[in-house]
Amino acid sequence: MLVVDPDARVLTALWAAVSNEPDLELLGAVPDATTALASDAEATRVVALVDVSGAGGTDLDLVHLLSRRDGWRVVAMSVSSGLRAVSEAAGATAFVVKGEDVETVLSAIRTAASS
Amino acid sequence: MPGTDDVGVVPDAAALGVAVLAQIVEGTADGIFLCDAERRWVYVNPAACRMLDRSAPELIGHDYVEVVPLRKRAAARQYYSALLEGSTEMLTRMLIGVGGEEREMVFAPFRVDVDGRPHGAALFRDFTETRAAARAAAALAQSAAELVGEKSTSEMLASTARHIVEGTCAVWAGLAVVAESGTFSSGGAFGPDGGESFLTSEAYRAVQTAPAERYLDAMTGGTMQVGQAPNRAITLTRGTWEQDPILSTYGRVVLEHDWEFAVNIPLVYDNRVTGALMVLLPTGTTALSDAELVFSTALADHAAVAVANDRLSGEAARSAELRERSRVARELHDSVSQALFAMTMHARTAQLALARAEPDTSEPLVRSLEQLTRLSRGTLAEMRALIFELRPEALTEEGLVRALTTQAAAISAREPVRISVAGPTARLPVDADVEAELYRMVSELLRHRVKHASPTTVAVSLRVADDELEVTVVDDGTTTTTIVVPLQASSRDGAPP
Repeated sequence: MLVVDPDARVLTALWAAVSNEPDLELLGAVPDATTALASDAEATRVVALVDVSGAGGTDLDLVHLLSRRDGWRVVAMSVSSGLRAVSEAAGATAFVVKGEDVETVLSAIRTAASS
Repeated sequence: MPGTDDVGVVPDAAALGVAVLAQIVEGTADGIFLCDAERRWVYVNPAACRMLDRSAPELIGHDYVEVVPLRKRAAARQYYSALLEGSTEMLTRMLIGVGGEEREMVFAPFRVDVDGRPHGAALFRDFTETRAAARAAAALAQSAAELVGEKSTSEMLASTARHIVEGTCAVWAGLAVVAESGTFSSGGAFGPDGGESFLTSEAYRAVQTAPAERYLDAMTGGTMQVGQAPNRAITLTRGTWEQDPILSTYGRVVLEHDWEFAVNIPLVYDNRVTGALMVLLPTGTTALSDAELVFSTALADHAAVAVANDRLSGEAARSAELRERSRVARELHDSVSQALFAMTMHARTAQLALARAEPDTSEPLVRSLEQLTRLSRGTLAEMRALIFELRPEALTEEGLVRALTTQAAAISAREPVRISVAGPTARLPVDADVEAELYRMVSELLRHRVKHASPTTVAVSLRVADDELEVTVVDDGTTTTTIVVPLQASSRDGAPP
């Protein structure tokens, strides 16, 4: 699993949460698209959890690019639900709001991993 | 009689003979006059009579300062003495026409000896219109430039008053603008002591507290009403001002000047009266000339535009400020939401780690972590509800049902109550405004019920039936409140009416 979020607090927390899940392996927690695109994995299935709240739509480009990689799935997340439709249009398999239960977020990741 | 046959001889005026000279003097368009050592008119040519608006018999034998405005007479006497001593300085002098209006004359004076006694003579012309037009043009240009300047409104109004006093016979001019509150919001004046703005002068502060509508009404004999279409300029007498209680109380500063008649001109913007200009005429003058009235009205219009500009840019600045504050609030909200999300994750991670590592661990630690988890989830729920206050578009994006669900979660996080929200998943067929109003109403209702009735459960349900949207709130299965909203045909079918 790859986590992409510009907020260091969220990155740290997600890292800690995912580390605690035996069935999820964290590839990396990176702050921006450039670093994200540089990472790659040997795994058959990679789920990228991408924050799309930023301005400029660059995050949506990242969603699009990552979702086209073989074996990759993208779960988009944001502070508000306004970006749900555009995220799914850009190629995200699921969309989670950062206010929802952590269980909901992890469940979305698991669903994407098995899809 | 010398003729052109005599080469090399230049004839002097005397050689022309009295008859020819008399024709020249009587026929010229320039005024020519002669006064004796005591300043009494001895001779005035027809042009001078026309310009002074009096016949020769009315002038001959009188002191010429009688046609000079009172306030200028001392200077005129001094000047005449200098003239008798040989001064030939050209000058501009104001003279009073028969109607009381002042005319601007330019004199080319010189001394003449008649029978060995000194006399004063002069050629003069009436430059009133020419000079007034030039000054008016200059003042209007300057006033227009000042419209985009950086002066405060009151300073601008004082400047306009100055232009009017300098460009007309007025001894004092004052402008005041009426605010929505019904008092004068700004004003400026210019008089013998210079310019004053309402903001800086003690005397004018009294005017600022006046009930503006009543003040203008009294000033203009009921013809000027704020916000209405303008009427013509109107003249007021000093007596009226002294006798009206409102005017004499709040406008006592005006009575400190020397005047008999005042002209009141409305300040007009967008064909509505927004204030007034008052021009005090010098004692002995009963009216502004047509040119002066047109000039003053034009300046009054400039002032009205300046004031409107000021108000509009003030509104724009406040609007920009509000948008900026909104933006800061939203950024803060987003940042706090991120932190809370991270906190809920940490709390949960800690709980799981504790449960796995030390299942028999002390109660306090487990309880603390439970509290922490609950608190951070609750705070996050409250933050999520806050977004609808900070970003109106959020309500449109989420839809009423989801927004109310979020609001319910926020209230439940704070209070010991379970709130359920049920409604259609599809977008409700109502306008954004109606949705926003419903959100506000139901949120307020929920908060009110929770605070005053302390129910343990509240059920909110939304239902679309026929051409109505029905929102029902039931607490503890007992008290029911229903809000019914009729649906527009266009919203329901998606087709235009």
